[in-house]
Amino acid sequence: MKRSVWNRLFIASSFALGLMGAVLIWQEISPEWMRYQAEYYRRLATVTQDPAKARTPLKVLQIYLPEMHRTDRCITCHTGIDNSKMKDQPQPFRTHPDLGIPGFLAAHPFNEMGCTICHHGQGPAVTKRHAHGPVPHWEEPLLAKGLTVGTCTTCHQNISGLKGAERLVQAKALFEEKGCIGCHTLHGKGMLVGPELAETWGKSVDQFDFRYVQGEQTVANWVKDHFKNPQRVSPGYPALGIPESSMPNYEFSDEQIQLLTALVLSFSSEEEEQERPIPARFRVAAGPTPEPTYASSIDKGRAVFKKYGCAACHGIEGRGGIRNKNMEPGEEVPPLIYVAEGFTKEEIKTVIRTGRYPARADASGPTPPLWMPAWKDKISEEDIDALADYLLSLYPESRTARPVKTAQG
Amino acid sequence: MTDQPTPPVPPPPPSKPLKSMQQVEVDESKVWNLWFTRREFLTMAAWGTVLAGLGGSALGLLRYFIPRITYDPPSIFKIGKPEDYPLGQVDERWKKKYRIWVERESIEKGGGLFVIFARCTHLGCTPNWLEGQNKFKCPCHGSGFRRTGINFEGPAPRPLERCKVALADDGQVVVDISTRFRNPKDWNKTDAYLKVKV
Amino acid sequence: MSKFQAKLSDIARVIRTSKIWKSIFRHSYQDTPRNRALMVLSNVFLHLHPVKVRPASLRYRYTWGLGGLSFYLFLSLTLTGVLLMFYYRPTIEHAYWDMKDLRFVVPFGPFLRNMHRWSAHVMVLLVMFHMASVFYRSAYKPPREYNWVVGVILLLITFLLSFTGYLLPWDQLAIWAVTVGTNMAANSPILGSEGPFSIVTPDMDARFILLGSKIVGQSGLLRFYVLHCVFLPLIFIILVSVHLWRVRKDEFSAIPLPPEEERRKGVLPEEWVKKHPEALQEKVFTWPNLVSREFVALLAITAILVIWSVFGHAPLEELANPNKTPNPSKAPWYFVGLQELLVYFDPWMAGVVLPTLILVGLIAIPYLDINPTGVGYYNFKNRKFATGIFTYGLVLWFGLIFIGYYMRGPGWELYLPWEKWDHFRPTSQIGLHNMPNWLGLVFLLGYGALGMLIPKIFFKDFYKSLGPIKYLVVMFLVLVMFFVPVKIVLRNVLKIKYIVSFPDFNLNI
Repeated sequence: MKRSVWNRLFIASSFALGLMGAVLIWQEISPEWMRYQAEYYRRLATVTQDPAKARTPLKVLQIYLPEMHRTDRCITCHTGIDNSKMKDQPQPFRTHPDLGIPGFLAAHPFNEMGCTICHHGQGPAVTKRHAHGPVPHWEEPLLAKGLTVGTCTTCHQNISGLKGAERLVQAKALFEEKGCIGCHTLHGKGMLVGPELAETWGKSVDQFDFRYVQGEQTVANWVKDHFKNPQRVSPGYPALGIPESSMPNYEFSDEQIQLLTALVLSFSSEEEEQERPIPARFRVAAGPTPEPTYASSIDKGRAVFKKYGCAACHGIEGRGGIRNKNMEPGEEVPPLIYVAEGFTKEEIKTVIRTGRYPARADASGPTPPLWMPAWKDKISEEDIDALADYLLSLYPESRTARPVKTAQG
Repeated sequence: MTDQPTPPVPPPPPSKPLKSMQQVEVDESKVWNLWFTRREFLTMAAWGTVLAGLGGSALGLLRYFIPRITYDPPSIFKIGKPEDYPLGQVDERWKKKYRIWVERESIEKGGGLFVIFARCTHLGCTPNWLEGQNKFKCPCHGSGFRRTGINFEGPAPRPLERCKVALADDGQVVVDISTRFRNPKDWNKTDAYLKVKV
Repeated sequence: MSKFQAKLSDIARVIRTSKIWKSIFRHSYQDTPRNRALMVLSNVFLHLHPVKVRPASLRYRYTWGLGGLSFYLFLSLTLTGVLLMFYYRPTIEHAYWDMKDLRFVVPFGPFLRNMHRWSAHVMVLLVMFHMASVFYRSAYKPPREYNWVVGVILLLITFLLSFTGYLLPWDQLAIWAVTVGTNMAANSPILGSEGPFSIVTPDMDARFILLGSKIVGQSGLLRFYVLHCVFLPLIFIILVSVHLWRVRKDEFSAIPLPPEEERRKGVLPEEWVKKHPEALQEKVFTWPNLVSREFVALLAITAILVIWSVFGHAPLEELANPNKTPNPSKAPWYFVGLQELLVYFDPWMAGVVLPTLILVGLIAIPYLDINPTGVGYYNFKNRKFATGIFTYGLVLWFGLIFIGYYMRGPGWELYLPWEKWDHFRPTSQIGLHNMPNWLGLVFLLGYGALGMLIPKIFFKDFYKSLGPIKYLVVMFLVLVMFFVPVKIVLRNVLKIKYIVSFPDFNLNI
């Protein structure tokens, strides 16, 4: 190379190095968190009318919790969470809300529990984008509004009656009404038509199919969209013979979807095996649940119906309406409200005990995804008896004109 | 004489005579008297950048060794409400965790609260509070301190230090062990002493 | 000179003539020939260079500075690596979170970590290019054969340094890349518990020795840390000292090139130099001519790496989780070519036999190449066989890397580089069958026999000049090299999985 080319390369390289040095210095002198913290102290000085506070030295603040395997640096920008004077400030300067529950904040001290155990997010990060997410390779982005209640079960084993977790209780009632356990397993109990629900939130993002999901690629968004329209989000692979999702589209409202998404999160939170386990002393054990009493056999039967999720296939209160592809007849799971017409009580109990595989409407078509399981050793005889009473009671009064089958025929 | 080849015809003179840099008439008062060429300037600037870069790297290296956080136990913490501490007593509940004694004066003296840092001013051992003898006694070399922290026996040269205290919004006492007061004259300041409504 | 400048130069003179100064700086720095010589001779680092060099060695297009830059990168990696050691703890509780700390709360932490990682990748690339460049300039031919061997060992050490360092962040990328890599050790013949003719159990095989355990865990992390920071760098330094010393001892290979007209006539440089021995005597001072070029070269590569490190963040995936295998799990890029071979060969072949043959083949090159032409300049015309085979090997190596890196998705299925990965795509590994063993043996023996005989018959001079032993070795290595595309074609076109298969011996080809 000519001498001048070496010269030019020298000059170009050294100027590039100088420029990069300047960029590095700039990045270190004025990081993002410093601007937030400086603004916080300025506002604090105004609110407390103490100008000295505005000159507080700026530094990264963290809550180090070796027992929980966490380091939360959220308070670097959210410096005001424990200062009640900052209640009316915009985020990130605002005080942590107390949910209107006296004693809530005292029961969850920040310096013992950190932030990410309830809110998720990337504790070690000090930039907004990395701390909140979603960023690649951090599987716990900050939980959206309304979902934080799903982490209460991390420590609280019993949420009924827990102040602040009312939405979870609501969600649980909806869950029982729809009978989700009739197709899904939860902590190992239930049916194997759909996947285990407690594993949902712990899965990594690339185990989900996001082709038909709107918005950011997070587990929360996938679950939300799946509730909205299961068939659109899980259309299956017709070429491979994998059918679309057989989960019914319940046409939930947005409010219901938020409740149920938080509930799915709570299922993962209450699993014993976590990647970063909680020390045992934080767990709030469930109290003894009293044995429920029932006014009548029909009430007991209703509880059994809910417990085993019969509604998942037979519809809410046995009203039917659940599709079962390629099932004969009618491609629908039969409703149960008319069982009094065609079955005696003993016959009903037999069907419950032995189960049934539906015939195919089109012999060359796929096997219907739903079938009646054999509950013989899974439901006790007393419960089956009560369940049969309940099913018989579902017969609508408007049809009493029709003859009801009795044991004599 | 041999034929000389005819010399080449000189090119016609250009319309405007060219002048070298030195020949151009210049008004000295209006020109910057630069003692370097553009190449020299750029080369010097490049070397300057290299040296500045090396210097900056050295400073950056020093800064690298000072992380923005440490995993040391916190030096500012809350220890409960003043009412939790009985009047006229030296409380040892935080001695193990934070190395402090929390003292409340008797009601005659005002019932105020202050915090003593449990480090002997002789060579740094942790003294013991001897309730029966009403004094702090260091097991290492026998230094003795009154309940106020004043040294009165043994090799200790100074009284025990007091820590900064304040009242937080939630009514708890906030202690800052990184800010300490050696001089008894400072002990009456609000930072070192908490007046408590009795 | 102003009064101030005069005073300054007085002070300078006093300093320069003081005893303290003269004890440190033993010569003056005015630009005289004597001082130019002394700059090199009296400096412990610079006196690796000769005082004067031939102008031919200044041509950047000769070496492209690859060897020197590789060494410079090694030094840079040592510096950044030592600095990173102040914050990194090699335990499974702390390693990953210390990497997060470096990223977020250590001043210049992200820059240093990125510098370290990108410099490592560039160094691996540069040493491969350096080897290719040395080959193409015949700088391994006598008397430089041994230095080439040392160089191949250094290449291996560079790979191992990069591989051991890969585990240290303790993220998903690390743990699974190392799982893939150490599984190759388990598949070694004899010394691996899962290879053919195995004589060891999993709790004492080659993999166990590497990891100190049957799984990639705490003991593996500690061993890799010590290997990466202490053991391998020490070996590298010792070998690189031998390597550089040999370069000096055997004289730098660059040969003066004949002028344009001679070259066009086809005169080889070594012939021209024999006729003009005075060209060899022409020399210029190392300081400043060579040293200035080296300085600018390292400044340039530093600038590139710094720009890359300021804006490009090295990846840090999720915390290592032995229960979650990402799909696909890929080895580091310089090993992903071998991982790609796993499609066509069993692990013991792709992971042990073939890499061993590659290394053995590389080491043997100077002892198999009997053509003395071309030392000190690029010559492709007079060494057609050598450059052809080597180039084929390079293209195959980088081609496999390209496919493995950019064209393999979930399930190791083939994707175009821009195609989106589909985790539900059905496998393409269907409809494969094996050749019947008798046919396979015929095929293999036929391939070997034909391969050995055909060149002997059609290229008699080639056989004669090599002699039988060298010929056998050369043809064996060449046949193995060409066996790879044979297998690729057999599998992709004819859907043949194995040519011969002896499952009882774990032996399939």
